[in-house]
Amino acid sequence: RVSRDTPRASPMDEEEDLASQLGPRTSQVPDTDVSRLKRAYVNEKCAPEILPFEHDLMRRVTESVDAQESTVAASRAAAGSGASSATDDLTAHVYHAELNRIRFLMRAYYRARLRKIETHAVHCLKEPDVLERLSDLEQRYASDYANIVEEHFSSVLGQMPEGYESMVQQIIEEDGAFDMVPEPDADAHVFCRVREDRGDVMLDPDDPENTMDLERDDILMIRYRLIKKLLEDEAVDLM
Amino acid sequence: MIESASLDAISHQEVHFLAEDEHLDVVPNFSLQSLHLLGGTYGPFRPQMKTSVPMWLAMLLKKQGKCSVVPPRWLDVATLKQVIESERADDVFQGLPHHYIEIATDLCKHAREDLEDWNLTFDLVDTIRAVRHNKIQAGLRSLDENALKGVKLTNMSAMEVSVIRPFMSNALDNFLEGSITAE
Repeated sequence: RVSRDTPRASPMDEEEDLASQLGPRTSQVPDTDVSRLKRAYVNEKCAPEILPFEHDLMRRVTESVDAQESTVAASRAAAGSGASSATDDLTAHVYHAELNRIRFLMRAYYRARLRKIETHAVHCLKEPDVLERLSDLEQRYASDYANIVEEHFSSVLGQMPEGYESMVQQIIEEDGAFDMVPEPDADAHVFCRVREDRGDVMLDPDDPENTMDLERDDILMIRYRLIKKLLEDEAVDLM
Repeated sequence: MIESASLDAISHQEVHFLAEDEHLDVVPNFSLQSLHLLGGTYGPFRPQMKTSVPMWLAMLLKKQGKCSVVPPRWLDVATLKQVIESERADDVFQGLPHHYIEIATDLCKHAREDLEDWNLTFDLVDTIRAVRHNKIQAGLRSLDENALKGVKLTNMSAMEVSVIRPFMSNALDNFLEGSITAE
């Protein structure tokens, strides 16, 4: 029986109760190579331009995966002579499942980059600051790909009137602009999540009075150009 | 014109895959020493001793009949009903866990017996999703040129972002193009 004197929970209390029942929106993610690989992949997938290649991270992850695979194979071989127990099978199953997840992330990372390289091959090759973001293998890939595409187009371009046979210039002109080279769109809209409190931030130098208060876990939908620096600083991740 | 960019965008399945690193408590029915995975160390596993593992591992163990899953605190009928009420009452979005849809989906699919009423639970989560989706659409309709400076999507969840991504990015990209040519 509820006593008449029992105060009803105020709307504020109910709100706080609900918030505590829901728990935190995001969990703390430990800073491991696997979590960095995941972030690198998502950022690469969502960014309109190609991001700097994660040389050290990919090397370490490749080594870790290879080492883990050897360990698992060795313990399977060691146990292989007798009948393996159910828990040995379970353990192998779990290691195998995790390795599959990590290999997926690695392949997806490479594939996202290759897709962008193919779309902007000539742009990558002619802009040194873009070219240096590619790994050695990717640079070779960009070059080979651009050559193959040019060869493919030449079957048509060769039939064009003189001066119009270029793949990269509308009209062949010495010192003319390369005006037919696809470039990534830095003004494309992206979604990003804020990783750390940054307070009031001026995002658009063309509109310096317009600041945004950035708190950890905020989600923004915004032009890539305006958060590119924050992404480089690891203050935001794309999503 | 079909935007090939949407073929490059992160898919719902990929978003779900990423959600599978969220941690859940499980109660194992087996014994195993700690598992030293590349992403972290989990266990040791002892019967009846609750332990925290990533969701992909929880589902793997569950499918093998090796554990029961402890539903997260927010995934119960009473709490979900409260969330629906609050979502309907306010214009703002409740602070649901970022991967609430993925977690609810997986548990309602693979850990039904560990939920008090998985059917009702799933219906409630779907209602929450629908109410929030309506609010998102109302919000989209109200966007003006200030949106080009950036839009804060307070308390939006991962799957909800994935659902509105193709429309919102295209709409704002086109809006930007239109406003530039208008100058």
